[in-house]
Amino acid sequence: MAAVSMHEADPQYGATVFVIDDDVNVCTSLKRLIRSAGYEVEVFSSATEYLARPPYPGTGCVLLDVSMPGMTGPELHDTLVRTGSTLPMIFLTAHGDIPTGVQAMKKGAVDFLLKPVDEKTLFQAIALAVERHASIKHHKDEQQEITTRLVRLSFREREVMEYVIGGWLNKQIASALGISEKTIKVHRSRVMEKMEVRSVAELVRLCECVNLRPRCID
Amino acid sequence: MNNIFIHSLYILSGFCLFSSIHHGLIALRYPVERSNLMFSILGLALMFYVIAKAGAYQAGSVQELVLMRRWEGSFVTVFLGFLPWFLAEYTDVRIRWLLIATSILFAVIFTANLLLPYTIAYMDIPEVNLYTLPWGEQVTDLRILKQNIWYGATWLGLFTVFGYGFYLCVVLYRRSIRRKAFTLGLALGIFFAVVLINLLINLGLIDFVHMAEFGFLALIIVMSIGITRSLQTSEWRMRVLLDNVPAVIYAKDTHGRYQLINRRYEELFHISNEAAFGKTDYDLFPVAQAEAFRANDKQVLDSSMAMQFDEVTDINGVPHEYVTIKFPVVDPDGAPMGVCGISTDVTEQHKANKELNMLRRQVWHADRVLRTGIMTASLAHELSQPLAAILCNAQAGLRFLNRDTPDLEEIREILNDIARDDKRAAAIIKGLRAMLQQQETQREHMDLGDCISELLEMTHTEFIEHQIECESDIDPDCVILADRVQIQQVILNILINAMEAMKDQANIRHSINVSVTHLNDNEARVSVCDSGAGIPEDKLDRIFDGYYTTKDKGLGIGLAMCRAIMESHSGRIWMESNDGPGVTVTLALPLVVAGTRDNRMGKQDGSSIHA
Repeated sequence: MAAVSMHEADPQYGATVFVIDDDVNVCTSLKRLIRSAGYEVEVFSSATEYLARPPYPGTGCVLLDVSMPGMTGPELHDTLVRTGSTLPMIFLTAHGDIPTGVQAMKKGAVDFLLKPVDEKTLFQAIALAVERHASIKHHKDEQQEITTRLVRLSFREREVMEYVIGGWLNKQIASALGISEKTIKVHRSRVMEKMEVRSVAELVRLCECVNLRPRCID
Repeated sequence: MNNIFIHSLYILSGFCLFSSIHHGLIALRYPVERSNLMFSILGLALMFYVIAKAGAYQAGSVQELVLMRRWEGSFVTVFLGFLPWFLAEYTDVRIRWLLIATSILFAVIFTANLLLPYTIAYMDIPEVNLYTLPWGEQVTDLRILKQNIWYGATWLGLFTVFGYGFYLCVVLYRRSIRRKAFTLGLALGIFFAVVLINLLINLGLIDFVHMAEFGFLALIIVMSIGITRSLQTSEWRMRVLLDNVPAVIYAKDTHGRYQLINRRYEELFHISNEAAFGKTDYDLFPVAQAEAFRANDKQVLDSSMAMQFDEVTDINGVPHEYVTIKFPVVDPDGAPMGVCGISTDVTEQHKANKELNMLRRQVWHADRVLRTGIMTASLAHELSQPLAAILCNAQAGLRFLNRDTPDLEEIREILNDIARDDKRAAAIIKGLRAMLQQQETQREHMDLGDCISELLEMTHTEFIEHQIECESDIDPDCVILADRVQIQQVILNILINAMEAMKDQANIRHSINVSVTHLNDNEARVSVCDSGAGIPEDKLDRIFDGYYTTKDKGLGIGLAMCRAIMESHSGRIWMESNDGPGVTVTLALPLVVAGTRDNRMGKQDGSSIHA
């Protein structure tokens, strides 16, 4: 269980902020300020440059300019969402028009900030974004873990587990599957072992986490 | 008193000679007027005719009479043969076949006159008779009572000539050349009347000697006056022409002495043509002006070429500006005779031009404000970039200072960056202010590359907004003497045009390429190459004309203004179609210094706003 709930400490530490802006001076200053708050910072002068970077496994967020040469901020946002990136986006723009802002927020941007931005506002947005990413990531990591445990189950064990989380008694399961109650008990203990849980309640939570639905007996 | 008739014939021949010489000289002086040459020949033929006639009147024997009349006949046929040609020349109405036919006819008569035993006039002359004139003078009787059949041919020729002559009178009259028609009609009328009387005498209906010579005399006198008048008329016309030209026209000899001035000159400077004759500019104008005029005259004489000058002179105390074309006057051998000048008063035009320029400046200003409005958003962006950087840096700096052991090196860097970004913001504001101010042009030595980089900096966001890739290739060694704001306006105009040209072009990679180069030491060039819709080849020539536009909502002022600015900088601007899509607009400006960077205004202290 300890392996599933990792990163319980302050999510800010170890998080990386990716700054994308075509203005080098703005990039440098942002890097300095954000680093001073304890984040790792990587700067990119264009969307393409960022896309060329290998996928980042850790927690973090993207801070990007709206208007850039080549691919614009919203376009990069679309591309990242399509490719399944979970990194939250914070837009930073010199002239924020309402349609662009609304559009960005609808697509899931954390915030839409105006330049020049005050550190308080900026850090709030970054903290929110990193926190959100951490929780998304936590959830995702857990799912990953559960999935690997699920894979270990045999077909019969999986079947038995699905009845168990539905709240059925061993006797009912045995009659439904046409096997002895004793065998069910063996399967059941193996499921608990392989899924690394101690109680049915815990098993139910894990299955809910990966959207595994209980089986019914007609 | 007994020889009065004969003497009057000699006097008549003398008059013919005089007339012939007179018109011969005129023909030499004005070779173009061929009627004078013709008339000279006619006069000479007539003189010989009259002398022969006088000889015939004094003939003592049949042989003498025949000889004299042969001479007389020869000359009269020559005279009548040339008469139609003269009339054609005089009236400028030519019926070629008729001229040739009469010439052939008189050539035949001429030959017959020489070959027939008693000339074409007589069948035979048995003896010489005397005729006594009323005042007692006795002359040989020349009446031809028994006429040779050939004599009819002469009459045929004569009437053809008359017919032609009267026809010409009618033509002239219809063409409203009345005076000439009357002169010719009168001369031919007298001549015709006398010839008729002659005919009646020959037929024995009137008892008198031949009077044809006096008819010829009338012809000669009237025509001579007519021709001279027409010559005078053409001189008079020239004078009237000169006087009615609304420009000042004058001619001076090689020493600068006035030979001729026209009426406009007379009126403006209150001096008559006669009074001005022989005077120089020093007599008529203040010394400084006279010297300027004289210098221009000398320049024209030395170069033997027509030249144009801007001359200023006071008229009633008010300075007037003249555009003067001066050209050398040479004699037929090519030796200089003097200088002729035509001066046109352009004071009013200059005033109007100045007003137009002012108007243009106002329109340009309005246009500029409009365009600046379009760009406010991008300028706000440009300004917020450095402001954002400054704020971030300052706040980061404060955080660093609050640490237990502040990293001074880091803080120094931060402060440097803050200073740099602040200057950058200031430059943008300065640029904006300059664009909005309407000021007289201020020429300064400036780096063309810097000027354009600065502008590209300002339009940067606009390009991104329109998804246009802007590449620049800037030669750092182009220094020009120019008004920075105006040059930026020209480039801005071209860039905005390029952006508009590409706006409607979907599915094409939009790009603008700006290059600054200098091909040689004299000229810097800025080329703006776009990938827009382009301009049709036939419209390229007119694109810089005022109020000409290819846009739906254009005023047609932008590029005309660009050209005006370029011309005021002694530069050029032109547009060419690219091989691919779009057009390239090129500006050429005179270089001040190429190469060394030292003697230029320094703007390389890192405060420039290169990104």
